[in-house]
Amino acid sequence: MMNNTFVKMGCVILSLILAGCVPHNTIDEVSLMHNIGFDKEEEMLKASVVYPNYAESDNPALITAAAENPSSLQEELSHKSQFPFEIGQVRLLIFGDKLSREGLAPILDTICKDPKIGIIRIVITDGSPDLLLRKTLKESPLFLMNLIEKSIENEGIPETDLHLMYDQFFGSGIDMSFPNLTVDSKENVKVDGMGIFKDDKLALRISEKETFLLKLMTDANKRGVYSFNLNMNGNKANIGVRIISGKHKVKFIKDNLKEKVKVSLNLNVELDALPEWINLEKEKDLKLLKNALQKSISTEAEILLKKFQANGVDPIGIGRRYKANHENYSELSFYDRIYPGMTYDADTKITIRQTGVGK
Amino acid sequence: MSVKVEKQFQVSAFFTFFLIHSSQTGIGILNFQSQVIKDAEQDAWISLIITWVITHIILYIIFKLLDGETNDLVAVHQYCFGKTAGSIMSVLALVYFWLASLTVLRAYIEVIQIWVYPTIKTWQLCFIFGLTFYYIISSGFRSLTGFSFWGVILPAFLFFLIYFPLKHMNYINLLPAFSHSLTELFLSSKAYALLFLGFEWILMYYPFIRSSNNKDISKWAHLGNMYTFIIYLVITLVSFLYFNQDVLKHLPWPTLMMVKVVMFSFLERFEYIFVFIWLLVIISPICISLWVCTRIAKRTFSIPPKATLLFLLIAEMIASVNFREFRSTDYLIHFTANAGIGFVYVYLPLLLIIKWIKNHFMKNRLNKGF
Repeated sequence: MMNNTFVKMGCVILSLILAGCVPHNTIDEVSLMHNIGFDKEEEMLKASVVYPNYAESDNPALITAAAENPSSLQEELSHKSQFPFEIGQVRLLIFGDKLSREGLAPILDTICKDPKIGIIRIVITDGSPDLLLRKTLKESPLFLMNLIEKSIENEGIPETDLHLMYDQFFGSGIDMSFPNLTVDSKENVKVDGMGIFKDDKLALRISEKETFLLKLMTDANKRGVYSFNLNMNGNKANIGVRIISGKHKVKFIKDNLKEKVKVSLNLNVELDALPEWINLEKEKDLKLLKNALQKSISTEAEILLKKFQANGVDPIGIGRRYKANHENYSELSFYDRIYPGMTYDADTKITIRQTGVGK
Repeated sequence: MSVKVEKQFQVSAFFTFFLIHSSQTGIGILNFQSQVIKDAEQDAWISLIITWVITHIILYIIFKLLDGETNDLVAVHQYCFGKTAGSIMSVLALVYFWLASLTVLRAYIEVIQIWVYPTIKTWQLCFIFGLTFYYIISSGFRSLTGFSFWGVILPAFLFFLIYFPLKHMNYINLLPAFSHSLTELFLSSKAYALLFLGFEWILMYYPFIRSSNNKDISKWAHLGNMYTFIIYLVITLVSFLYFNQDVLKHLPWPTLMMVKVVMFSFLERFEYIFVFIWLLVIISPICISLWVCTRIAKRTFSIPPKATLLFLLIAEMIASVNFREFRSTDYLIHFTANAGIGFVYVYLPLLLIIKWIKNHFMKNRLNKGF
């Protein structure tokens, strides 16, 4: 009996002690990558990595390396650093213009297979990521991630992350789209429009305003500012309205053998600064303003949808909606035959929730 | 022929719920999605309901087998096939049960190697786990039951994590519904059957459950199976709502990918914690099946359980170290799944028919005798 207890105790103690023998990493002895930029340069893949360099200074450091495939890229990077690079803390992935045009598939496929990567944000840039990252070196390492995060939250940029990328890249009936970062004339980094992809290649760039319209038609969060030209009672002005929340719906209507896509938007808006010749207390003025806003959003949404159609891209996921109602859906025939012939009809309903505290 | 177990070694009927449920949930729940969507795609949840109903029928068959004088598998085998043939069948069952435990262990080690420690060696993990298993199993059936109780209760909070993927769900992924043929649905429900395997071990631990009547045990067993079904249904639906079907085809570990989205302000990557909490879940099926093996050996050949346990554990360690290539674990899982489906869903109903025929002849002989 004594012997038996001894063996059992031994089992417990040994398994507890041995559990301490797992491989470990000390935080000071790894280089945690925060932002990675990928681009193509002379047939080679080029990566630029920003990592906080705690051992030497407070500012983040930047390292670039080039290799022929994504796997050896990480090793090339490590050759230039005293500590091994860890990919687990990456927050932002930036694709350069040249790589976006040539196709992201080789990189997206390897990222998908790396279990270490978290739910990261993905963006593109219209220049080279190297330049963009260099501009942010004086900021904190998470500057770019915070920039994107709050733009998505409040400023009319559609949601973008690894999960959505899987959904759009592998899933049928929808195309990838990523926000675009740019360096403006004053050397500041800013979010500017979006890039729409066909398969894994960049096919179309859209402006800031179109980006917000795209967000209205895809995301659940619809916060952002929409500006339009108001022409009323002989006065003209450009007015910005803040959209607080809303709902979107995409429906198909058979219309003379052609499929018609009906997009309905239900938006709650907040008005703050209005020119003085509008008096919202007057029923007529309010109605005119509402109608002008509804018409402006509907027409611009229709124009944007036609632009997508003309370029053969589908970032809204019309194919996916179509698939849900049609059992014999095939991606190829949908985009070859049905999608180019579709007509669009956007319908907007505005509810003015707040007018601010001024009068 | 029936076995009598001393009262001090028995557990009450209520624990059947935990024993059944914890022996069903293993490693399959982490990656079943890519298998089940092969045929029925977004309609696979219907296949799950089919498998669940069939599993209830099999449970009913098991309790019919254990009725009366033959109250464990070895007794049933000896009653139906006689001493020698019965022993051979029992040994085959032992081999399958051992394979089941090996599969869960090897698959879990693979998860750790893929997700957390790519450089750790299989034998190191085997050694640590082996010590734990020896400790739990050698303490007897009652501590095993205690462990399976906590192995269900403690990880139960993981269930609330579905809140995170539900925030990103899209109902459109489940459409068009009901668009698959019956054949496709049945092929998918075969893939689901692997998830339910494990409840058949009640064939051996049945005498260890104390109860005034048979009905009480079967009630808790059916409830356990129902709870398993509910969990599988929720995970199936949540992963279908969260991932598009085309994405699921590309992800080898969808459940873990789903846990990735779980984020707390103090903890960014929950999947690492998830993988290790899962150890609590997989210890029960591994230990119960190994205990069942030692029980079969004891009942058929009267070998002392400690000796069988040591032998089987060492064999299991050696076997898992020898699965080196990444495909080989897949083959092992595939093979065990097919063996299990054959044993549970084909052999057990046949066994009941054989038992009925035998009963009939015995009655006739008795009648003639008088």
